[in-house]
Amino acid sequence: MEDLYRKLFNELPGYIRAQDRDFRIIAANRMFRAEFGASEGSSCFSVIKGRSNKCDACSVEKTFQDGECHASEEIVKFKDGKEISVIAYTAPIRDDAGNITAVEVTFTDITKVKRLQQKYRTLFDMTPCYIAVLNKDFKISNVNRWFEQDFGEGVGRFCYEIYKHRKEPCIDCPVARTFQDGEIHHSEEVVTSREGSQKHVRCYTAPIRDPNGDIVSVMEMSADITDLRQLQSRLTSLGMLVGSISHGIKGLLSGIDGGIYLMETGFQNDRKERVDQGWSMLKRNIERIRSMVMNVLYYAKDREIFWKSIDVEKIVASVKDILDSRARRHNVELRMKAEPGEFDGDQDAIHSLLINLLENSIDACRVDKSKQSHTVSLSSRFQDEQVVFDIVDNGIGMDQETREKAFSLFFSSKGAEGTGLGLFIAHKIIKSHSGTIDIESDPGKGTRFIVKIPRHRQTSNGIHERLDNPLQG
Amino acid sequence: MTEYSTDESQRVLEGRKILVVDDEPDALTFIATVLEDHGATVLQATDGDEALDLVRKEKPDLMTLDLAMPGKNGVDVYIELRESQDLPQLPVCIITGRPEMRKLIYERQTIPAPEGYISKPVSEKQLLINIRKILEIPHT
Repeated sequence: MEDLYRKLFNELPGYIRAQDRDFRIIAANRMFRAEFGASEGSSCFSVIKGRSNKCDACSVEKTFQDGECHASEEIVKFKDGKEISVIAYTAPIRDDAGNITAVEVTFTDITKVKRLQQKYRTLFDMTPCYIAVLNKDFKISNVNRWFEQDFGEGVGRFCYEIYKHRKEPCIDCPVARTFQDGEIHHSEEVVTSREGSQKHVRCYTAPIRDPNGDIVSVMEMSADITDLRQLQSRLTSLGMLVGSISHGIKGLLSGIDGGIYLMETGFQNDRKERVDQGWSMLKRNIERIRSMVMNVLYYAKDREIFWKSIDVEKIVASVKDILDSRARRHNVELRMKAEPGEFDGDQDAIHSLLINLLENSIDACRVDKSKQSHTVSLSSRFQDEQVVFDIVDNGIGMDQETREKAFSLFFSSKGAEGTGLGLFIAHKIIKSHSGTIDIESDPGKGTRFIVKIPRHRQTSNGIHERLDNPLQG
Repeated sequence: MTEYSTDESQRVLEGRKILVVDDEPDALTFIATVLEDHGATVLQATDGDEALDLVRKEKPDLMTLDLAMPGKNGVDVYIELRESQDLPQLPVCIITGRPEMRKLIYERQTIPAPEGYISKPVSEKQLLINIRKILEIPHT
């Protein structure tokens, strides 16, 4: 009979052994001996793990202590060095008096299951969206790596807390709906990453059921669609741009119609002063359409900067030429003063920048009825390796709101004439030259723009680069 | 191609005093010149306060009013005029490049709609037809 048990023990499909209290192996079946080597009398930790002392959490020890069966997952090593994953089950062996004399340990090889598990875990982790598994209280029980990367650990915390920094569940939550009806739901959400950046996500929820078909948790999968939304908002602003430009051009068409009317009636009635008046009206409005189109071009594409050395005196003189008649027409005195010298920049862009700022100042004077005389002055100087443009007017001035929104796209306080592009473009040009702009302004008193641009082109590593050759860059 | 003709003998607006309000100088000059060429006496204002001032002092027969103006805009001017007890109630023709501002006036139930409305850009012909209609000057 004992022989039969011995045979049975030996041939059982699994790695089976018996141990004493000192962690010594007192018996092992054939499979165990074959894979782990001759072992009776040696300590289990050295045989199955290659350790020199006992493992920290030892199931054998626990079974000796409490007489219960235990199970634990372990990674063990064959004698040839190959590692396998096992579940170790322990059971007490008692003598006739009921004392535990040995503990029997059975290893079940779960390496294949583990590998499969690992494969699915990798798929879960590498799915390019944020995945979180939630319980009924919206507590997170599992997340993938993408989630962890952008939102932190998360497990054990509430999804609304992690995603939206809220203290209570969101209204109209797709997870709650999936818990209710077991269907897949979706919604679009704006969530905040742990770094504080906002992300637009398209969120899908799916039920996870237990073998009885009851929903135990819900998987929430959120795809980042921030790029898409940014594109959408760019398209929206493009639409606004088209609207704003159409309004601007409509206004200028009135001026062109007016110019044509004055010229035609002037010719008909032989009134030269009327022809002249119409002619200058035409020229003025065509020039303004030109600068509006330039602004649209600056807005519409990120124009590459064509770096060259710019002569400040020349560019200031050219700007004065263009704006002189406009200033005179509105009884605004235009004063220009430039310290001789050169700086690096895109000539056309700097030209547009100065025109935009000065036109803004002239307009601020035009609409100001509180003063008898108006002046717009532009002075430029070199200071601390920067070129500084100081533009001062005594026009209508800006209140705080106008000041804060002055550089916003499509913001205009100018009525029909403003496209809301001029100062936005000016700001964009200054930024592209690594420069700064400050506004000092008081309602009723006037406005001062201070523009500072590095005198020499700054390369990406912060080193100033001199441009002696205008063709360089 | 727009055809412009000024038959100055046809001074259909002779004896009429018209106030033209527009912050855009070229539009102002254009409207004012067309009206003057047809015999009207033209007053000009470039902002809302100036416009109401001239209405009070000069009592014009009609006002053309731009809506989008900095400061007190055309909508404010129209509402102030119509709600006022002591300003003379003259007919008003809105001339604007911002049609969306129109509803600020037309959706107000408490005041009557303006007598005329023209979208910019405005042609000479369109301007005259509207002004004549408002002032009830028949075609000859």
